[in-house]
Amino acid sequence: MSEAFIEVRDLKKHFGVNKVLDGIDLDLSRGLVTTIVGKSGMGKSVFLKCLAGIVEADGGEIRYAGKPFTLSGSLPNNRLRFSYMFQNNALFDSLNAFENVALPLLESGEHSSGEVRDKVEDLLGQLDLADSLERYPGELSGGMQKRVAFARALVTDPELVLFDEPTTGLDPERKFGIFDLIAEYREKYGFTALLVSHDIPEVFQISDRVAWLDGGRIRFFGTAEELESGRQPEVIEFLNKSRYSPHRKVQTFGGKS
Amino acid sequence: MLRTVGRSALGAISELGEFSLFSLGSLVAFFRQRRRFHKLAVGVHEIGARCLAIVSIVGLFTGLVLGLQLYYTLVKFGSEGVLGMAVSLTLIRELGPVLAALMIVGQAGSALASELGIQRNDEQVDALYTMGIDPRGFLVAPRLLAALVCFPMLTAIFDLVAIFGGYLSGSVLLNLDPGVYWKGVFQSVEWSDVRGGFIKSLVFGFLTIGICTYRGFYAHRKSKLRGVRGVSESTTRAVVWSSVLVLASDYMITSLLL
Repeated sequence: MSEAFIEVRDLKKHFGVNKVLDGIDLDLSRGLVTTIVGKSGMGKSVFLKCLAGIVEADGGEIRYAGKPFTLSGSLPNNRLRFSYMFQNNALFDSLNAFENVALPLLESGEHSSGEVRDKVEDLLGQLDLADSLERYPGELSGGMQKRVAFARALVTDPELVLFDEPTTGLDPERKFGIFDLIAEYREKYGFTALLVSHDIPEVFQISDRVAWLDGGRIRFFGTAEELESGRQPEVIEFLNKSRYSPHRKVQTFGGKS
Repeated sequence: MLRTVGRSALGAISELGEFSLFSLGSLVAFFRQRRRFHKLAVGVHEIGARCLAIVSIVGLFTGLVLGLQLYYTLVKFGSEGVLGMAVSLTLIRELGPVLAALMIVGQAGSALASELGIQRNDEQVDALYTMGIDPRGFLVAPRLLAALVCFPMLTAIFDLVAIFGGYLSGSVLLNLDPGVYWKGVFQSVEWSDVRGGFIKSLVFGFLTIGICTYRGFYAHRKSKLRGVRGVSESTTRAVVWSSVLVLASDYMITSLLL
């Protein structure tokens, strides 16, 4: 049985006159994968960044265990371990794959260098990157860079992982690979995941909950099945447009957890 | 008209305040970082190694030109014997710190501004926030402190190479007695001259690398342009403002020291 984990209430953000988030209410349940879908430019990534404390919200509240909370990672007394996988990976060009993944552990000072080495090598080995420890991001393929970013997001044993379009720029096979990884490691480590994705309907396969963001608000929240069987004309139109995008190929998903 | 001037003045004061808070905040954040010595060493390598060659080359040619110009001026008054003194004092007090700073800004400052701007655009700065790492302490402070180490060292190298350049043009090319040249150097240069040059180089280091890192770090806010053009504009402004500030602060420090 999942419990309330993060509660977002009336979250607002505007840029000039453009109200991007106009009162977001969302509950994230512990251990579940929640996916935010919606048209481009509707503020999905902004919402994720507000949640992470990268972008300061204009109003509203985020609660953790019922108490007002900020996820800003720079807070030294941060009680919630969270990580963020960026759309373009945000890997440091001057650090190799090993150093990129080890960075949050080394900077936290909570682990010895031996522990860090063991943990990072183990994780990168699990992600088929054992031969690429010394390679720099510029020397890695797009899919390998995603896996390094994925490893960096998981290496701190986070309770909450925010994924901002984790499959952007990948071919269909690699996309399924990333979704497989999220599902597999969620099962393994038990983190709560919040995804932003355009990959409809593929992403529904790993999503326990789906939120549809439109016009600055969450217009739908429920399971993927409920979303797809819904009768709201806007939802139907959105799903049809997403599903029948001309460049989308029908694939079967092989890694549902 | 008055409103425009007032708005500009308020903008400049606000910018100065923001820059001061940024620089001091970065230095404070550095002492909360792990592996501080490693980061400082990387910063010293970035600025020092990047600029050593250009500072030496410019120093050599500055000394050569200075030797030539001063020799032909002094010889008119029969005073070519003071060439060593004129070259060394001009360099150590004034030209060395200023030209070395301008070279470092062009070589390392511009690279830092653009690197930080790209890291901002690429969300690497945001990534540090999410990892609980203060980006100012991680990316900015090591460079600022490295500047305080490297600027005096590179200025000293510039001065030495340039004084040697003056010797090459004065004694080797124009046949001034080497003993006269070096005696002039050793007898005229005092500790207060060297100290003044070092004070200037420290101030230049803090100001220039501070501005370059500030402009790069806030490339997304300080430029009206976005993306690569924004980074390019931020870098250009960083270099221009750093160069102007080197010359302006040079005048102020010289006024205070004399």
